[in-house]
Amino acid sequence: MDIKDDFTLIKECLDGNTGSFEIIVKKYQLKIISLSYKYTKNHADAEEVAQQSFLRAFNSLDKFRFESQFSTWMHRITVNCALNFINSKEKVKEKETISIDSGQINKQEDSGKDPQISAGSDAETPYNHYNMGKLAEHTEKVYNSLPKDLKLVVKLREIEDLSYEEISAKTDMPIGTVRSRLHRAREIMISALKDHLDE
Amino acid sequence: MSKNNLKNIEILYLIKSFLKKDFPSFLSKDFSSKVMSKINVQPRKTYFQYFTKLAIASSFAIVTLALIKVINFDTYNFESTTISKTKTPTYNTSNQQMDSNCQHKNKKADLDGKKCK
Repeated sequence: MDIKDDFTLIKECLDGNTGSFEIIVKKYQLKIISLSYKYTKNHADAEEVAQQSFLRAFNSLDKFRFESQFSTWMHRITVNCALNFINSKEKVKEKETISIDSGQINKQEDSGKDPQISAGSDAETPYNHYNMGKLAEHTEKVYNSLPKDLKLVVKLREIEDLSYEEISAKTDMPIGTVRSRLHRAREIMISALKDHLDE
Repeated sequence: MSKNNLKNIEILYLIKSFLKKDFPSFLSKDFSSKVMSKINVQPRKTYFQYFTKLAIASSFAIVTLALIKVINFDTYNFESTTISKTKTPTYNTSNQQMDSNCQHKNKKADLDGKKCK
Protein backbone atom coordinates (compact mmCIF):
# COMPACT_ATOMS: atom_id res chain seq x y z
CA MET A 1 0.00 0.00 0.00
CA ASP A 2 1.60 3.20 -1.19
CA ILE A 3 0.55 6.29 0.78
CA LYS A 4 1.43 9.64 -0.70
CA ASP A 5 3.07 12.24 1.51
CA ASP A 6 1.09 15.21 2.80
CA PHE A 7 2.51 17.79 0.41
CA THR A 8 1.60 15.70 -2.62
CA LEU A 9 -1.92 15.16 -1.27
CA ILE A 10 -2.35 18.89 -0.63
CA LYS A 11 -1.13 19.77 -4.12
CA GLU A 12 -3.63 17.29 -5.55
CA CYS A 13 -6.39 18.90 -3.50
CA LEU A 14 -5.42 22.33 -4.77
CA ASP A 15 -5.61 20.97 -8.30
CA GLY A 16 -9.25 20.08 -7.64
CA ASN A 17 -8.96 16.47 -6.51
CA THR A 18 -11.00 16.55 -3.30
CA GLY A 19 -10.61 12.79 -2.95
CA SER A 20 -7.03 13.35 -1.78
CA PHE A 21 -8.37 15.28 1.17
CA GLU A 22 -10.22 12.18 2.32
CA ILE A 23 -6.87 10.45 2.73
CA ILE A 24 -5.69 13.40 4.84
CA VAL A 25 -8.85 13.13 6.97
CA LYS A 26 -8.32 9.41 7.49
CA LYS A 27 -4.67 10.01 8.33
CA TYR A 28 -5.28 12.69 10.93
CA GLN A 29 -8.80 12.04 12.26
CA LEU A 30 -7.64 10.27 15.44
CA LYS A 31 -5.01 12.85 16.31
CA ILE A 32 -7.40 15.73 15.71
CA ILE A 33 -10.27 14.16 17.67
CA SER A 34 -7.89 13.40 20.56
CA LEU A 35 -6.62 16.97 20.54
CA SER A 36 -10.16 18.38 20.41
CA TYR A 37 -11.18 16.11 23.29
CA LYS A 38 -8.48 17.68 25.47
CA TYR A 39 -10.40 20.95 25.16
CA THR A 40 -14.02 19.86 25.00
CA LYS A 41 -13.94 16.90 27.44
CA ASN A 42 -16.84 15.44 25.52
CA HIS A 43 -16.66 12.96 22.64
CA ALA A 44 -19.56 14.35 20.61
CA ASP A 45 -18.19 17.89 20.89
CA ALA A 46 -14.68 16.68 20.10
CA GLU A 47 -15.91 15.18 16.84
CA GLU A 48 -17.78 18.35 16.00
CA VAL A 49 -14.67 20.47 16.60
CA ALA A 50 -12.61 18.02 14.54
CA GLN A 51 -15.10 18.29 11.68
CA GLN A 52 -14.96 22.09 11.80
CA SER A 53 -11.16 21.94 11.84
CA PHE A 54 -11.00 19.75 8.75
CA LEU A 55 -13.48 21.99 6.95
CA ARG A 56 -11.51 25.09 7.84
CA ALA A 57 -8.28 23.44 6.78
CA PHE A 58 -9.80 22.45 3.45
CA ASN A 59 -11.13 25.95 2.82
CA SER A 60 -7.79 27.58 3.57
CA LEU A 61 -5.54 25.02 1.89
CA ASP A 62 -4.47 27.67 -0.60
CA LYS A 63 -3.00 29.64 2.32
CA PHE A 64 -0.88 26.71 3.44
CA ARG A 65 2.77 27.49 2.89
CA PHE A 66 4.77 24.40 2.28
CA GLU A 67 7.32 25.50 4.86
CA SER A 68 5.97 23.84 7.97
CA GLN A 69 4.55 20.35 8.38
CA PHE A 70 0.88 19.88 7.61
CA SER A 71 0.34 18.30 11.04
CA THR A 72 1.63 21.45 12.79
CA TRP A 73 -0.65 23.64 10.72
CA MET A 74 -3.62 21.35 11.34
CA HIS A 75 -2.83 21.33 15.05
CA ARG A 76 -3.00 25.14 15.17
CA ILE A 77 -6.33 25.20 13.30
CA THR A 78 -7.81 22.63 15.69
CA VAL A 79 -6.74 24.56 18.78
CA ASN A 80 -8.34 27.72 17.38
CA CYS A 81 -11.54 25.88 16.49
CA ALA A 82 -11.70 24.28 19.94
CA LEU A 83 -11.26 27.62 21.69
CA ASN A 84 -13.92 29.22 19.49
CA PHE A 85 -16.25 26.32 20.22
CA ILE A 86 -15.73 26.63 23.97
CA ASN A 87 -16.28 30.39 23.84
CA SER A 88 -19.50 30.07 21.85
CA LYS A 89 -20.73 27.35 24.20
CA GLU A 90 -20.02 29.51 27.22
CA LYS A 91 -21.96 32.37 25.64
CA VAL A 92 -24.92 30.06 25.06
CA LYS A 93 -24.70 28.92 28.68
CA GLU A 94 -24.69 32.53 29.89
CA LYS A 95 -27.79 33.25 27.82
CA GLU A 96 -29.49 30.19 29.24
CA THR A 97 -28.68 31.27 32.76
CA ILE A 98 -30.17 34.68 32.12
CA SER A 99 -33.26 33.20 30.48
CA ILE A 100 -36.22 32.52 32.73
CA ASP A 101 -36.79 29.13 31.13
CA SER A 102 -33.23 28.04 31.67
CA GLY A 103 -34.21 24.87 33.51
CA GLN A 104 -36.33 23.63 30.64
CA ILE A 105 -33.68 24.42 28.04
CA ASN A 106 -31.01 22.58 29.97
CA LYS A 107 -33.24 19.55 30.29
CA GLN A 108 -33.96 19.57 26.56
CA GLU A 109 -30.29 19.84 25.72
CA ASP A 110 -29.33 17.04 28.05
CA SER A 111 -31.92 14.72 26.63
CA GLY A 112 -30.90 15.58 23.07
CA LYS A 113 -27.34 14.41 23.54
CA ASP A 114 -26.23 10.85 23.43
CA PRO A 115 -25.55 10.04 27.07
CA GLN A 116 -23.36 7.10 26.14
CA ILE A 117 -20.95 9.30 24.27
CA SER A 118 -20.90 12.00 26.90
CA ALA A 119 -20.39 9.55 29.72
CA GLY A 120 -16.81 8.63 28.86
CA SER A 121 -14.86 5.60 27.86
CA ASP A 122 -16.42 3.20 30.34
CA ALA A 123 -19.87 3.62 28.86
CA GLU A 124 -21.23 1.16 26.32
CA THR A 125 -20.22 1.98 22.76
CA PRO A 126 -23.00 3.27 20.51
CA TYR A 127 -23.56 1.12 17.43
CA ASN A 128 -22.28 3.78 15.05
CA HIS A 129 -18.98 4.21 16.89
CA TYR A 130 -15.85 2.11 17.07
CA ASN A 131 -14.94 0.95 20.54
CA MET A 132 -11.36 2.05 20.38
CA GLY A 133 -10.32 0.35 23.60
CA LYS A 134 -11.33 -3.08 22.33
CA LEU A 135 -9.76 -2.48 18.94
CA ALA A 136 -6.53 -1.39 20.59
CA GLU A 137 -6.48 -4.57 22.68
CA HIS A 138 -6.99 -6.69 19.59
CA THR A 139 -4.28 -4.80 17.68
CA GLU A 140 -1.81 -5.34 20.48
CA LYS A 141 -2.53 -9.06 20.46
CA VAL A 142 -1.93 -9.24 16.72
CA TYR A 143 1.24 -7.15 17.04
CA ASN A 144 2.60 -9.42 19.77
CA SER A 145 1.89 -12.50 17.70
CA LEU A 146 3.94 -11.21 14.75
CA PRO A 147 7.25 -12.95 13.97
CA LYS A 148 10.21 -11.18 15.55
CA ASP A 149 11.67 -9.78 12.32
CA LEU A 150 8.34 -8.25 11.28
CA LYS A 151 7.65 -6.94 14.77
CA LEU A 152 10.95 -5.10 14.82
CA VAL A 153 10.24 -3.33 11.54
CA VAL A 154 6.74 -2.38 12.68
CA LYS A 155 8.11 -1.03 15.94
CA LEU A 156 10.74 1.10 14.24
CA ARG A 157 8.47 2.41 11.51
CA GLU A 158 5.03 2.77 13.11
CA ILE A 159 5.93 3.52 16.72
CA GLU A 160 9.27 5.28 16.44
CA ASP A 161 8.52 6.90 13.06
CA LEU A 162 11.90 6.11 11.55
CA SER A 163 12.44 6.38 7.81
CA TYR A 164 13.24 3.34 5.67
CA GLU A 165 16.86 4.49 5.44
CA GLU A 166 17.15 4.85 9.21
CA ILE A 167 15.61 1.40 9.78
CA SER A 168 17.96 -0.07 7.20
CA ALA A 169 20.97 1.50 8.92
CA LYS A 170 19.82 0.44 12.36
CA THR A 171 19.05 -3.17 11.48
CA ASP A 172 21.72 -3.72 8.81
CA MET A 173 19.04 -4.76 6.36
CA PRO A 174 18.73 -3.63 2.75
CA ILE A 175 15.94 -1.06 2.22
CA GLY A 176 14.13 -3.53 -0.04
CA THR A 177 13.94 -6.05 2.78
CA VAL A 178 12.67 -3.38 5.17
CA ARG A 179 9.96 -2.44 2.71
CA SER A 180 8.87 -6.00 2.04
CA ARG A 181 8.81 -6.94 5.74
CA LEU A 182 6.82 -3.85 6.61
CA HIS A 183 4.43 -4.55 3.77
CA ARG A 184 3.91 -8.09 5.03
CA ALA A 185 3.44 -6.99 8.64
CA ARG A 186 0.96 -4.31 7.62
CA GLU A 187 -1.03 -6.78 5.56
CA ILE A 188 -1.29 -9.17 8.49
CA MET A 189 -2.33 -6.46 10.93
CA ILE A 190 -4.76 -4.74 8.59
CA SER A 191 -6.55 -7.95 7.64
CA ALA A 192 -6.78 -8.97 11.32
CA LEU A 193 -8.27 -5.62 12.31
CA LYS A 194 -10.52 -5.52 9.28
CA ASP A 195 -12.12 -8.78 10.33
CA HIS A 196 -12.58 -7.39 13.81
CA LEU A 197 -14.16 -4.17 12.50
CA ASP A 198 -16.61 -6.09 10.36
CA GLU A 199 -17.80 -8.21 13.28
CA MET B 1 -8.51 5.72 -5.09
CA SER B 2 -10.66 2.66 -4.50
CA LYS B 3 -12.85 2.31 -1.41
CA ASN B 4 -10.91 -0.74 -0.31
CA ASN B 5 -7.65 1.18 -0.46
CA LEU B 6 -9.13 4.05 1.55
CA LYS B 7 -10.38 1.61 4.16
CA ASN B 8 -6.90 0.07 4.38
CA ILE B 9 -5.37 3.50 4.91
CA GLU B 10 -7.88 4.22 7.67
CA ILE B 11 -7.10 0.90 9.37
CA LEU B 12 -3.37 1.45 9.05
CA TYR B 13 -3.64 4.79 10.86
CA LEU B 14 -5.87 3.17 13.48
CA ILE B 15 -3.12 0.60 14.04
CA LYS B 16 -0.48 3.31 14.25
CA SER B 17 -2.39 5.21 16.90
CA PHE B 18 -3.14 2.01 18.84
CA LEU B 19 0.52 1.05 18.88
CA LYS B 20 1.47 4.55 20.03
CA LYS B 21 -1.35 4.40 22.59
CA ASP B 22 -2.63 7.77 21.46
CA PHE B 23 -6.27 7.47 20.41
CA PRO B 24 -9.70 8.77 21.43
CA SER B 25 -12.11 6.45 23.25
CA PHE B 26 -14.71 6.64 20.49
CA LEU B 27 -14.67 7.26 16.78
CA SER B 28 -17.73 7.56 14.56
CA LYS B 29 -17.65 4.93 11.88
CA ASP B 30 -18.63 7.52 9.30
CA PHE B 31 -16.54 10.43 10.58
CA SER B 32 -14.50 10.93 7.41
CA SER B 33 -17.49 10.50 5.13
CA LYS B 34 -19.37 13.14 7.15
CA VAL B 35 -16.47 15.54 6.70
CA MET B 36 -16.22 14.79 3.00
CA SER B 37 -19.96 15.20 2.44
CA LYS B 38 -19.77 18.64 4.06
CA ILE B 39 -16.81 19.53 1.87
CA ASN B 40 -18.55 18.36 -1.28
CA VAL B 41 -21.68 20.35 -0.45
CA GLN B 42 -19.71 23.60 -0.32
CA PRO B 43 -19.61 25.75 -3.46
CA ARG B 44 -16.25 25.40 -5.11
CA LYS B 45 -14.06 28.31 -6.05
CA THR B 46 -13.99 28.23 -9.83
CA TYR B 47 -12.07 30.13 -12.48
CA PHE B 48 -15.34 31.75 -13.47
CA GLN B 49 -15.64 33.34 -10.02
CA TYR B 50 -12.06 34.63 -10.21
CA PHE B 51 -12.75 36.02 -13.68
CA THR B 52 -15.95 37.74 -12.50
CA LYS B 53 -14.11 39.35 -9.60
CA LEU B 54 -11.37 40.56 -11.91
CA ALA B 55 -13.91 41.93 -14.37
CA ILE B 56 -15.75 43.84 -11.63
CA ALA B 57 -12.51 45.31 -10.28
CA SER B 58 -11.25 46.40 -13.70
CA SER B 59 -14.59 47.91 -14.75
CA PHE B 60 -14.67 49.87 -11.48
CA ALA B 61 -11.18 51.18 -12.20
CA ILE B 62 -12.14 52.21 -15.75
CA VAL B 63 -15.26 54.07 -14.54
CA THR B 64 -13.24 55.89 -11.88
CA LEU B 65 -10.60 56.95 -14.41
CA ALA B 66 -13.28 58.14 -16.84
CA LEU B 67 -14.97 60.18 -14.13
CA ILE B 68 -11.69 61.85 -13.23
CA LYS B 69 -11.17 62.77 -16.86
CA VAL B 70 -14.72 64.04 -17.38
CA ILE B 71 -14.80 66.34 -14.37
CA ASN B 72 -13.21 69.64 -15.42
CA PHE B 73 -11.19 70.94 -12.57
CA ASP B 74 -10.51 74.26 -14.37
CA THR B 75 -14.00 75.45 -13.53
CA TYR B 76 -12.98 75.69 -9.93
CA ASN B 77 -11.04 78.77 -8.97
CA PHE B 78 -8.32 78.03 -6.58
CA GLU B 79 -6.84 81.08 -4.87
CA SER B 80 -3.66 81.24 -3.00
CA THR B 81 -3.87 83.06 0.29
CA THR B 82 -1.14 84.02 2.64
CA ILE B 83 -1.72 82.65 6.03
CA SER B 84 -0.48 85.18 8.49
CA LYS B 85 0.21 84.11 11.92
CA THR B 86 0.39 86.72 14.65
CA LYS B 87 3.23 85.94 16.89
CA THR B 88 2.36 85.64 20.47
CA PRO B 89 4.99 86.60 22.98
CA THR B 90 6.67 83.53 24.26
CA TYR B 91 7.84 83.39 27.76
CA ASN B 92 10.72 81.09 28.29
CA THR B 93 10.63 80.26 31.93
CA SER B 94 13.88 78.34 32.08
CA ASN B 95 15.90 81.23 30.68
CA GLN B 96 13.98 83.86 32.51
CA GLN B 97 16.12 86.81 33.40
CA MET B 98 15.17 89.92 35.18
CA ASP B 99 15.72 92.95 33.10
CA SER B 100 17.58 95.93 34.46
CA ASN B 101 14.51 98.15 34.45
CA CYS B 102 12.60 95.63 36.47
CA GLN B 103 9.87 95.51 33.89
CA HIS B 104 8.62 92.16 34.82
CA LYS B 105 5.40 92.07 36.62
CA ASN B 106 5.78 88.74 38.18
CA LYS B 107 4.82 89.22 41.72
CA LYS B 108 5.93 85.73 42.59
CA ALA B 109 9.52 86.71 42.05
CA ASP B 110 9.16 89.27 44.79
CA LEU B 111 7.64 86.74 47.04
CA ASP B 112 10.52 84.34 46.48
CA GLY B 113 12.89 87.03 47.63
CA LYS B 114 14.19 87.99 44.22
CA LYS B 115 14.75 91.67 43.94
CA CYS B 116 15.21 93.93 41.04
CA LYS B 117 18.69 95.13 40.41
